[in-house]
Amino acid sequence: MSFSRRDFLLRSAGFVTVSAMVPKWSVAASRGFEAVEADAAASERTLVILELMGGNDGLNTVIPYADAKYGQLRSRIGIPSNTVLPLDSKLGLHPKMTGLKALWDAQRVAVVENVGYPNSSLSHFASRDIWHTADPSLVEHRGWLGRWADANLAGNGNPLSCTAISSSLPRTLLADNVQVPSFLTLATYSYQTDGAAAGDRNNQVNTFLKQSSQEYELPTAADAVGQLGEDAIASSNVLQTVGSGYVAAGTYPANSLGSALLLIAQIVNANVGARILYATYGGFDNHAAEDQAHDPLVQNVSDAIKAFFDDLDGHGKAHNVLLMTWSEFGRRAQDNASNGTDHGTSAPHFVVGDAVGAGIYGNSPNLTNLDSNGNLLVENDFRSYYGTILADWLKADSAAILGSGWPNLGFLNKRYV
Amino acid sequence: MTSISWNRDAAAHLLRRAGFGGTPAETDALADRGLDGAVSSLVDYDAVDVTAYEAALAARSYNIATTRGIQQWFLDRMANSPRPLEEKMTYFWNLHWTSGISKVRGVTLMLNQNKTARQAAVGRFDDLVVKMSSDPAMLVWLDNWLNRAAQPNENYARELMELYTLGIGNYTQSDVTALARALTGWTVQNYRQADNYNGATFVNNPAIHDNGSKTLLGQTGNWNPTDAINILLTRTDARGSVSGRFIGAKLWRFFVYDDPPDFIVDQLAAVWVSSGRVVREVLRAIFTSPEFYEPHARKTWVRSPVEYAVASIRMLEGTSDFSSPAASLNGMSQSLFDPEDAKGWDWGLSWLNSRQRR
Repeated sequence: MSFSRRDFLLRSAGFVTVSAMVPKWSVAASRGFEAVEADAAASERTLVILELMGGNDGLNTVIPYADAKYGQLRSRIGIPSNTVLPLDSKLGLHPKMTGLKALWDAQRVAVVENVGYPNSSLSHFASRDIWHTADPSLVEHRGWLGRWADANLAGNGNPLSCTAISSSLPRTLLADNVQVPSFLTLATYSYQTDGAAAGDRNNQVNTFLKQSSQEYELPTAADAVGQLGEDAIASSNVLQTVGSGYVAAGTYPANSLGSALLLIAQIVNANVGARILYATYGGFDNHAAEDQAHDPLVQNVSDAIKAFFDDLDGHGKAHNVLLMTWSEFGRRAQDNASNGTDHGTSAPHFVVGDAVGAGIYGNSPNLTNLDSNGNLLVENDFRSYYGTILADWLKADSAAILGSGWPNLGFLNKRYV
Repeated sequence: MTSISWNRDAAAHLLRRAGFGGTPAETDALADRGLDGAVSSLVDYDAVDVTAYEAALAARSYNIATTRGIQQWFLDRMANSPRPLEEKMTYFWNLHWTSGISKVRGVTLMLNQNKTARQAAVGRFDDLVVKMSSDPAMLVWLDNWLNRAAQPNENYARELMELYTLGIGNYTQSDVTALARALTGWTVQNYRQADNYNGATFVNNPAIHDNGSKTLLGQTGNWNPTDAINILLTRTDARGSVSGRFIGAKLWRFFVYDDPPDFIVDQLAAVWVSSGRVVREVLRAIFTSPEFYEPHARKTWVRSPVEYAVASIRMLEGTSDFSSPAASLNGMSQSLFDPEDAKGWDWGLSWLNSRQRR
């Protein structure tokens, strides 16, 4: 079957992935396979980042249930103290977080309390950029792990060193010299051509690329874009194989987060040299009706993390994997009249894995000493949170990436450090 | 200032940016009009008769009770309307002033918001701000329908300043609180599951309005929503109109390139003020500016998935019922009417995964 240029473009309109918009692709697609296989043994530790988008309400996640002030501030949406899952005499997990509680009981969870940065921006977008870049002055354009990747992964020939299960590239992974595949499902991360003419696929791809190269010419970035295309093809071809025959050893929740962590487990188990894997989960901006919206969110987070570690355990991989959470901010201490919470500052975050020193790092949130906007004061700077992981898990020079002066919080203090 | 060399290439560039590209015949016709005529034919689109197109669109009978149906309906308009800039600007306002079906739930509310944006797309910005701030889908999307006196909900107030009119850095947290209080009372009625959340209508409910004194951007009074919007839009600083710079720069970024130099932003802000904040005149200034036609501005655009699909069909005179393009856009992370968050989709280089705009 042959196609004219016009026929082909009409058929393909709307059938290409984001990555297919780039010009100048080389479709010598098998390049990279050997390199990937060879790298597998060198991949010792994987860091999984889980971003809770929208600003998770820390006070209704790790609840200061023994503090009477909590019940006063949260008169509309407070979690009853007799329902929390106690971690100690002051703090307890949200009652829906039984999965994470089981991991806590197994000494595999560190809770890092009151994490934030000075002069908190209450803007989602500014605060996200600050967390992504680890630069409150917003001068640094690369992500904090992008800087790590540039120093440690650039030029390694492995297009899967960093991968994001996300609709767009998380800026945390934005690097100058490392490309990061970003996609939500494997089904969409491929160059899709007319299924009625599968044998003609390569011709279709080549035709498309030739016809497209003029329209998307980017004189200042042509080489980078061309490389992006090659890397996209290479990573897509490897990734298309990781799910086949996979038997999960955990029960993932049937939602986008469950799917993302299952995919991450599959990538880990495919031994493709993945070092940084990133998942996002949205819906946490609960300005209203938080009493209905937040329960399923924290339950899904908890269930998905539990399933993920069950799955890793079943495949003997858990010792190589550390998971950390972050969110752009916590929420206002006092709830509002629409049964929600407005933008806040610091919040607790979770680090999960065999390498953690299980426990709570930091104090119970101080609900009587709030800032002028009614928000919590930061106790642990987020650069200490990041720096501890960089130094103790990735064995990196955290000061070179984050600047010096950020004390190690010591939550990775087992035999791994 | 350099002069503009108007020719067929320039016309093709204009048609790609102000619309979704054109056929060779359309490009020829635009080139024949000369610069001012060509720009006017796009910008002054009220003069373009759409009767035949609207009839044809209606005859295609998209099922606009469904999300897929309104996606098809909007894609058809972008690909086939004889007023390409009207659709490009509706798309722009959808990106700027986004709402999402995942939270709004009522398909009709989403469709009506799209129609509202189209109807007010290039007129006086003040009218658009009032219409979007009282739009049922927007009231639900950013919770202002639940914003009440006593303990206000800041969600819409913050984004109204940060994302929609002024930009971050041009207000404080106390302005957010004051604006949230001023916006109490603009809500919806009949938002309920019984009619699939499609029955909601705007209502101004004085019973939940905060009648206290509020200090917003330095001005103190018992402001209602309309007062507050006026305070935002007339805000000036030492450099001039804050909203004029914010919207002018964003329009330039959308139609031309990132990071416009200050002198261009100031020129657009001046047009903003002199025209009484009429978006059409800012667009005319952009499309008749020498900088729009510089080599630097040409062929440096990475199309979003929506633009990519629409332009491919439009430029090649293809026909489609837009069902499969709409489905494919989901896989490309641009499911129309269902953005990931309040900021909506970005454009340009952000669609290339190697780079995000800084």
